[in-house]
Amino acid sequence: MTVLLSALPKSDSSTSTLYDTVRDIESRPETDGDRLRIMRHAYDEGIPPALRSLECDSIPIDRREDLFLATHLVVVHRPDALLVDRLICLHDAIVATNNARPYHHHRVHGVLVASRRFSAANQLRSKFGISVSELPALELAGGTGPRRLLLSEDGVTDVPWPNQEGWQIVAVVHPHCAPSQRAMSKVMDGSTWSWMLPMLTLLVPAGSAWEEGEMRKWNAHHPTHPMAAEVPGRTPKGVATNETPVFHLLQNGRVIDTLRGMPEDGEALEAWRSRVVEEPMERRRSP
Amino acid sequence: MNYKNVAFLCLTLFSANAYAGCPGTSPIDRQLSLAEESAAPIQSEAGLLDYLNAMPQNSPLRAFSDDAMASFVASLRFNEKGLTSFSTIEMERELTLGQAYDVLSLLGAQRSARRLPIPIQGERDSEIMKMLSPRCEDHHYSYQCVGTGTCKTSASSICTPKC
Repeated sequence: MTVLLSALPKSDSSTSTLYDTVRDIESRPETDGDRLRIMRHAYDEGIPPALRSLECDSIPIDRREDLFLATHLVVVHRPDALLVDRLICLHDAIVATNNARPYHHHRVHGVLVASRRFSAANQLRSKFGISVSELPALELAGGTGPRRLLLSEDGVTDVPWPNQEGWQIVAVVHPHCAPSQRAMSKVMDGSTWSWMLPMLTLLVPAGSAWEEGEMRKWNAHHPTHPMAAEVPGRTPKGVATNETPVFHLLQNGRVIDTLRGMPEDGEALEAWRSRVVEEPMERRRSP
Repeated sequence: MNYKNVAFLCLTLFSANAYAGCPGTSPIDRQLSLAEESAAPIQSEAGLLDYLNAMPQNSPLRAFSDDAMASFVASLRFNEKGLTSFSTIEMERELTLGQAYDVLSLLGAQRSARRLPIPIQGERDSEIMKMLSPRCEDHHYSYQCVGTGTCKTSASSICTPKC
C-alpha cells in the first residue's frame, strides 16, 4: 500500500492523532486478545483526565472529535459500560458546540444497540432524528448463565440458552454478511452439511444495527433453525462473536473446536462430522 | 460495460426485483451487482495504482481532502476476486451521499452507499436512495474482511461479498 500512497497528494499534517494510533492497531496481525490489550493501553495512555472523570465540557473543542472517534473504535471492540459512558459524554460535548453530524449520532446509536440499551437508543433516535427504525422494547434478564434474544410475535425476548448437553454447533452469522449467506446456504441446502442441522444454533452477533427484519425473514423461511441474537457477555463460554461466519463445536456446553469462515474443501467440517455422527454410532454398535 | 449500460440494466432489473423474494441475496441482485462490479474502473490493487497514477481531474476521489483520500485509499483491500474491504469514516465525514456513491462506483460497491449515515440533501441524493432501497444487502457494515470468507468487527469498515 506504500506504493499506492506515494501516488497520492502529499498531506500537510505531520502529527498523528489518537484515532490514527488505535486505528493502526485495529489492523495489526496480533491475536485478538493481544491486539485489544495493546489498543486499550494506547487509548488509556492517550486520553485526558477530563474524559476519565466524564467532564467532557472541559476538553478543548479541537480534541473532542479525535477522542470521540478513538473511543468509538475501542468501544466497538470492547463494549464495557465505562467506555460507552465516555462516548456519550463526548457526544454530548460535541452536540453542545453544534459540531455534531449524523455520523456522530449513528455511532452512539450503534454502540447503544450493540450493548442492548434499546430504550436509550430510541431516545437518541427521537432527539436527533436518526434515520433508523425504532427498536422494540427489550428487558434483559439478570443473573448468570448463557442467554440469547429470540424473536416472537410478541416482540423480542431474552431467553436461556437451549439445553447444552451433548454436541452442539453454534454458527455465528449475520444476515448482511455475504460469506455468512454463502455458508448458511450450504448448510441449509439439505445435502453435504445437513448432518449438523439437528445440533445447529444460529447466533447473530451484537452489532451496531438491529437487523430484525432480516432475521424475521430468515426465521419465516427456516422455522426449524431461527436466528437468535446475542446478549453481550451471555454467550456460552468460549463462543467468540467478533467474526462471521464462525462455527463453534461444543460438547456439554464447552467449546472444543472453532472454524472461521466456510472452508471450501470441507475437510475440517468433515472431521467434525465423523466425530459427532460416526463415532457415537460406532460406539452404539459395539458391545 | 459503461455507466449508461449499467444504468439501463439497473432500470430493467429493478422492475423485476419488485417481485423477487430476498432471502440473503436474490439472483436479480447478484446479476446487478456483478454488472456494477465489472463496470468499475478499479477492480484490483494494480488497477487502483494505475488509476491513481493517471487520476482524472474530475475523479470522485478529488472530493476528499488530501488526508481523507490517503486514508480511504490505504483502507482498500483486494483479493483475487476483487474488493474485499474499505473504510467508511472518510466518506461519512467529508462527502455528500452523491459524492460517496460516485466514489463507491469507482469500486463497483455503490450499492453499499445507502448504509452510510450521510444525510440526503437534494434531488440527486433522493434519487440515489430511491434507486438503492430495493436492493438486498450483502455489504457488512462495521466489519472488515480477514482471511478467506470471514468478516471481522471493525469500527468503520465494510466487508464486501468478495471476501
